[in-house]
Amino acid sequence: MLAEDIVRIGRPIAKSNLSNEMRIRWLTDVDNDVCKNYFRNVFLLELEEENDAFHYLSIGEEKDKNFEVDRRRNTSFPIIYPNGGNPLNAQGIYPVPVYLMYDQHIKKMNNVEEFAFEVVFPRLKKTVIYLNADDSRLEKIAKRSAQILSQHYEQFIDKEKQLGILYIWDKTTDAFQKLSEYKKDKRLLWICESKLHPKRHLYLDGDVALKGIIEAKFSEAKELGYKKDAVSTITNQKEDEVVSIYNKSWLWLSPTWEMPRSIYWKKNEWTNGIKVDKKSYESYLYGTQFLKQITVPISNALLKEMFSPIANVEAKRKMRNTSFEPIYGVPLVVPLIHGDSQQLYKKYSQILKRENLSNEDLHLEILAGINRIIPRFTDEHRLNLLYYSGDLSRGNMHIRMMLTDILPSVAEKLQKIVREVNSIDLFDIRKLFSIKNEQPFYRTKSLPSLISNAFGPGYVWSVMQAVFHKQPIRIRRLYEATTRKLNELANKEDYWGMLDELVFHYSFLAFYQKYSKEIGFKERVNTLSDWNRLMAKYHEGSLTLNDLQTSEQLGFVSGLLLKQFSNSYRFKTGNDDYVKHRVMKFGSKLTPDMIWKSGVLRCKELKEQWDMPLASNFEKNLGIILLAFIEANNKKILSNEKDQFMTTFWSGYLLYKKDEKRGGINNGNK
Amino acid sequence: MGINNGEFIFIKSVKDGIPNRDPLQDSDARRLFPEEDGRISLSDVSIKRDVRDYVISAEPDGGNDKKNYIFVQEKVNEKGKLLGRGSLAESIAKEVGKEKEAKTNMKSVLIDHCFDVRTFGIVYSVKPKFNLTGPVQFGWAHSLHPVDSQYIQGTVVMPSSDIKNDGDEGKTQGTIWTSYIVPFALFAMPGVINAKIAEQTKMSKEDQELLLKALWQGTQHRQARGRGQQQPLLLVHVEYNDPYFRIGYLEDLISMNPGEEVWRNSGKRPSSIKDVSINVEAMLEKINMYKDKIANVRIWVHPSLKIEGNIDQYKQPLW
Repeated sequence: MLAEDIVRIGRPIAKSNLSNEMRIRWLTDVDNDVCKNYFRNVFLLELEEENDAFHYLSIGEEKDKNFEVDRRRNTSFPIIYPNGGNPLNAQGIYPVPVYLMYDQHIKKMNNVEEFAFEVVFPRLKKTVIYLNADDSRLEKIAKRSAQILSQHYEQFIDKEKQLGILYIWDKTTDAFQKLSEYKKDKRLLWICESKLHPKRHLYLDGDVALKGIIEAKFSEAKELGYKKDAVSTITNQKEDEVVSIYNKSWLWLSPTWEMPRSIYWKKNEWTNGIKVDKKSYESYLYGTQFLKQITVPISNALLKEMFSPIANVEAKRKMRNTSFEPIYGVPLVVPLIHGDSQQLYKKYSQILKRENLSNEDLHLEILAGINRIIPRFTDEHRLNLLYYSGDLSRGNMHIRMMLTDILPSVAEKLQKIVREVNSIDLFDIRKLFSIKNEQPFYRTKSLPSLISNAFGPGYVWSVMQAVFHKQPIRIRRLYEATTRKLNELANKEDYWGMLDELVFHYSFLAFYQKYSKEIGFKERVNTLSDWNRLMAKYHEGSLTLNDLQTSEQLGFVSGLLLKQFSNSYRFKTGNDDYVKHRVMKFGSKLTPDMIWKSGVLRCKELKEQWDMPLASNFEKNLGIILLAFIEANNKKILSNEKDQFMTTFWSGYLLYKKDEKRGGINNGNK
Repeated sequence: MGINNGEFIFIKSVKDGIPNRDPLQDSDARRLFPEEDGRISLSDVSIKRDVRDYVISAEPDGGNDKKNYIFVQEKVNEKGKLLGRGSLAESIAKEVGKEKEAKTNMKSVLIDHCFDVRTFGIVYSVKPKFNLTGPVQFGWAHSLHPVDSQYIQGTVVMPSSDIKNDGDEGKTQGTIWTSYIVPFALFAMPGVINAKIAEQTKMSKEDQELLLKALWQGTQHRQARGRGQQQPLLLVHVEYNDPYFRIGYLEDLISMNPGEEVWRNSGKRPSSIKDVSINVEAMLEKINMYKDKIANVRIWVHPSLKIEGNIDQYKQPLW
């Protein structure tokens, strides 16, 4: 379950020795870019028993017309940005008396009564540290605050639109302290120097603030239902208090989308769904914040590779990178057992900071198209990959796929295979086809693009699921698609395009071969070394019927043969291409039958007719190939395995080179 | 008059289109099966849409007795805005003159006047909320053979907007459209009718007959380039007199010849109804075996479909 995964991820962060400052950073919106302008105007009210003082602060500085918040100080102002609802009203629960002020609030600050009872009082009532305080006390604080603000109104008011933070530093609560020295402390967060007692300093107690933040979030969740003495869905044990996991703080489980709610539940009965206890909820909060930070959009170039139609070259070329709906990827590494939280936390922060990386880490860009690097985890963890599209800020998300239960060791092996394909096989394949291009080949760069280009966008998720779980995959579709594309390109005489398709075809076969070996899968496909051997035999003229038992082998040597013949034919006839002019008919699909009957069978006749000089290997091969065609026809492999035949035919045709050792003329290559 | 428990199987074909697109897959066909299987699927929602649209046109304004309104539909108000669920229900209540009753009991108003509420059920999420499970439930329809969808492109001659000034460049040409299609596919969809639930939703014998007719004629008349040319081919309805009996999985008792394996192994795909026949012998055998529990069997078949098995005694004239 996704919610449980998030709790598992958050648990090590909650248990880690993270400082208060960092925790506040994780759980509040102090670093949220949306909130930066609030830090321009901080109205800090310093309240002691009888005395009070007004501070007007700006936490940050103006840089190139842009306000930059001072990150060394902002955690002392733990603000929470409301999601939805009318922000002018008191919203949700506040951990400590630190409130976001909108322009309308600020312009109202000279009206004591209105500001005290419409703005401050309702917020104080919803503040965790004042939850047990009686109304009369809160009214007093509200009025006193409003009075101070109205006295200094002229000092800060501006005609422009203003945003700000109202901060009530109240000595009577345990959330605040005043110390005679300025110090850096793990627990206490420095706010500013006191005005009532110069040289003394105001602090926020981080422990109290954090407790308040968690309480605030927990209370917020309570609004959609809570139960006492009920079983938590996460711990499966009876807990004092459980709340609904659906809430506005994380829009993946947003209550605005009513799908998971039965029409029979009331608005505050969401606990009939998933319910969580306070401890798990805290972990959940950390988990969601962590996921927010590691979520990355999949690059447009990869989306094009993943979701373009594969059986049509032109259609894929016409597709724009931008014509795909954005998809986001989230990698979740879930510990299976309660392990060493510190170590886990360290790894999580490594994912965020992208430091101390090594080649052995999981580069998810290669494996899943997600631009994140995950340090090495043992198999006591599971990797879950989540892909979604939609506008999360509106709580509108569509989960495209959740690939669960991936063993880190399997992912590592797959990564090794994909890397090898790109660094070794791709190099060899290009060399064989005499392509000097060193450009990156996007189709093989990552596992999703490899899979999608071979199987088609309709099967990208299901095949990824199979591959990550070491299940067998089949390659029939690869042959089908390659044949179709080769045919399309052959009709246009786009030989470079054909080479490109063949490079992908053989790269995928290399992947398939390694993958099959890895999972102990028996099926064997012909790779480059097989073709090299066959090509050598062809040049020597030492082919036997045994070498031509499969449709692929027969297709390949027919390709070699027709190309050799074609070279000679062109020499005799001028610029004509044999296959194009004699074998293929306008706009038609070339089939094994046409190659046999209109191509190979007529070679001998034309050779005699035109008196063509062909190397000695030609006739030896021709005889064997013609026999092999009869045998293949009897076995019906020409029709049943035509895709394999055609793909290898074009491979042979495009791979054929004159044999330098034997000289050009004899080989029919003048 | 009450209806019997029953089940049915409906076979339809589609040519040059995708009758039910997957919105998250660039409008390609829905693929529930893995790559080596290759079959595509249709959801019940797509078939119910055909039925509903047929009833809307065949029974305008709820029909003579104002019983056959359709609740689930796209309807716009005079300002051109789509009506929400509440307003749709209210507009039906208004047309049948039961606005007052609707305020306290929308459920009974919708049951009495909406065909789709009685047959397919309803989730009414406007206050006062209620839901009703429908007596008629369809399964997913899967193609009887592997299907390859093709990506095609075409051109539109009309530019998307006028050229305002003579010197303007661009928008002088139409655009290129792109789409997936399947050249041909044959789908089989199972369904059940539950008499006990029908009592609760007041689904009547007439509703059942209208449903069967709508399945056939609704499929026949709904065509669009995207959806393709649809054709109903075979509809089998089995009614039981034993309220607790059901043969079940009728779709497994019919088969296509040549079967899916043959297509898969040869790499070929059927391209028209002429290429295939439907074998119903196994189903007829089962029907014969359980004849004492069966009240009635009816089969509608399109003349162009080749059937293996003798269905003469069950054959019905087409609507």
